[in-house]
Amino acid sequence: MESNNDRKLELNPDSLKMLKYRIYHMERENHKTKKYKDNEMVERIRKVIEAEVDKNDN
Amino acid sequence: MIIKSIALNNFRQYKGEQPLILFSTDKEKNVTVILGINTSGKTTLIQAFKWCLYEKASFRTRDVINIEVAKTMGLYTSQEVYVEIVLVHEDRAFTIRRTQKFTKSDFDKIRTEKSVLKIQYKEDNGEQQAVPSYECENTINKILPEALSDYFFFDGERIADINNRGDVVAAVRGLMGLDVVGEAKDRLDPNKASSVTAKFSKELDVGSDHKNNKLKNDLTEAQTKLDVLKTRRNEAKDEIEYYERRKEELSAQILANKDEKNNQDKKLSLEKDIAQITKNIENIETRIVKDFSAGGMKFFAMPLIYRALKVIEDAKYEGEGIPEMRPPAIDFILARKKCICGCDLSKNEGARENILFEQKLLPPQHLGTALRNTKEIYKRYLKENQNLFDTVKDNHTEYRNNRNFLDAKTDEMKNVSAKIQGNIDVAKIEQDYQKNEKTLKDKRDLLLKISSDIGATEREIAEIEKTIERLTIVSDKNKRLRECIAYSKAVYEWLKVGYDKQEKEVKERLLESVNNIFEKMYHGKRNVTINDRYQIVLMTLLDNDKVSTDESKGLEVVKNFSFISGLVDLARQKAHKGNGVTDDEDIPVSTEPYPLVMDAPFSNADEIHIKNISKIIPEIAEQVILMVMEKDWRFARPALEDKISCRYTIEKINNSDTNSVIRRDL
Repeated sequence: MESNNDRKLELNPDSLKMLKYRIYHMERENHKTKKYKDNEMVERIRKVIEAEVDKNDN
Repeated sequence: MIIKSIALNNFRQYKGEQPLILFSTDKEKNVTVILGINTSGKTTLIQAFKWCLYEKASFRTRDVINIEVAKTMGLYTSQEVYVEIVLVHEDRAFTIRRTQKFTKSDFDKIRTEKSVLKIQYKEDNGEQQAVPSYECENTINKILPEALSDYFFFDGERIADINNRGDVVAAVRGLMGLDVVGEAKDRLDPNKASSVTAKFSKELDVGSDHKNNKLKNDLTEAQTKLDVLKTRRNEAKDEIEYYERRKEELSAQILANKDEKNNQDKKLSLEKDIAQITKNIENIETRIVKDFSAGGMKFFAMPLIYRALKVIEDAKYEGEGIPEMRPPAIDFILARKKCICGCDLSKNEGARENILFEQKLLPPQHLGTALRNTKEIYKRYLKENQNLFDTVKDNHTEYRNNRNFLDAKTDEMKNVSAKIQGNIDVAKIEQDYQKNEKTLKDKRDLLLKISSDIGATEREIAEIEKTIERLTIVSDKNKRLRECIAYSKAVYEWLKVGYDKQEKEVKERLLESVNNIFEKMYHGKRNVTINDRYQIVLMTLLDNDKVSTDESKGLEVVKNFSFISGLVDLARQKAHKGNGVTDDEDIPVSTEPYPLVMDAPFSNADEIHIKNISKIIPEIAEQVILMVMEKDWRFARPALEDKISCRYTIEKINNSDTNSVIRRDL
């Protein structure tokens, strides 16, 4: 088995900035509207992160 | 959010369609005053805002329709009640109207339909757009969430109650936008089993199925345990908060009933004294009875003997015979003609005459000797029984003294009992206080224990995560997941740091703002501090130490006013600072300017405080709407006059409690 413990991930600053902005605004919007439940919000945030990672990989 | 106007129709006291009430939106002259006497409809006006926005109103009777209108309705006819508010939020004008229809369906029955909320807003191009009915409540929540509305629509009672509300922490965080950051942070928290980060971690492939599953199970278990511990920590904190509040309440009760306590202590002490004195009296009585049983006759004889002795001593008689000499002895000496000294009485006439003289001094010819003998007997008798007399005398004195004490203590007891209020048992309050102290200590110990367990569990999670990290095999799937986890953790860290920074800043600025306002309203050696629960505490400088102190009703109003004003001021400062992402490192917390709508804000405040409060309010809130009692207005007016652009008076029609009208004065 190969370990990748010694390899530090480099995060894309633009992606991180975008994620910070999007996640905060999603929360802010939902705080006002209460449209999504906790587990739904977790899924939405997860998808946003995955999409951003996939975008970088492509 | 700035309120432009409110329109009322048949709402409670306001019969029929009322003239539109416009509120000042001027930045300089930002105050609107509505004057009215008691029961004229000032509180109703503040309730109209809440009813329109949230369908909430705290009237004793349920229906909002004007009573006179309801009474005069014809059978099968209907009447409408509506409240329409026009406001500006985030530069957009909204018209919010809540309508409720009432129909007289029977002679004594009015059917109430469900209220209908309609919202329209003006597009940037000037066109009016209607908000879909299913979005209306959400729109209101976006403008001013109901939970926060209490902090902007105040009645006098709520001003006094601000410190006792349990939701102050949530309200402050809500106002400052911190609750949003808090929720976002929680959803990304790697230590929470249900978080985004934890979900990514669970999907990492760590090789052999057994190990993989074991590690993931351990991680989930530890995360779940951490969640439970954190919930328990919050519960423990809440409980501590409750017991701390209870401690303050009990301390206040003990302090307030200090005199009562003294009286109760005094009563207890008197009860003990009275019991002791009563016992003393009983003992003395027993002794007296015992002494009398033994020597009663002697005791009563003694005064008689005293008197008899005195009579004997005072009696006049000449000469006294030979003690214990009896007449037969003299007769014997004379018959034998020889004195006891040996002298021959037949030859010595002088000696014989002396013997005859002694004979005359003896009874029955003379009483002198008998009296002398009696006197000696009496004296001896008195001497022998003097102890009994003294004992009885001492007992009697002691008995009288104790009786006097008993009378004095009984009188005192009556006075103290009259002062005691009756139902307040201060000793019971003190017992409760001690019990509360013990519980508080137990809860604090529990909190320490839970905090320690949280630390240990967090370390355990970190260890498991390290193992997972070490064992994670290189694959495209894991690479993607690790990137997702890294981004998730980075956003979490940003939110956490931002949250802590913002909360610290909010507290510091709130304290500064509240103290600034307090200093302007109150002149004295006091200031205020804000504790962890965002409760405001009055402090007094005493010998260079700041101590928490008691407060008068008026001072309490000033203190609470400072807190509310401080909050509004802080919200306004935040709003002016700007919204949106300005810096990568700063969380874009945003707040809107809010109006301050207050009913009877000067209740319980004295003349000086009314003037001071009036000076401050226009400076701290973007818009101020005040419902003021006319009696308070004369004190508030000089300070507010330059800031007012709209002023109204509520008038009762024909002095009726069910028909008022609002007239514009300015």
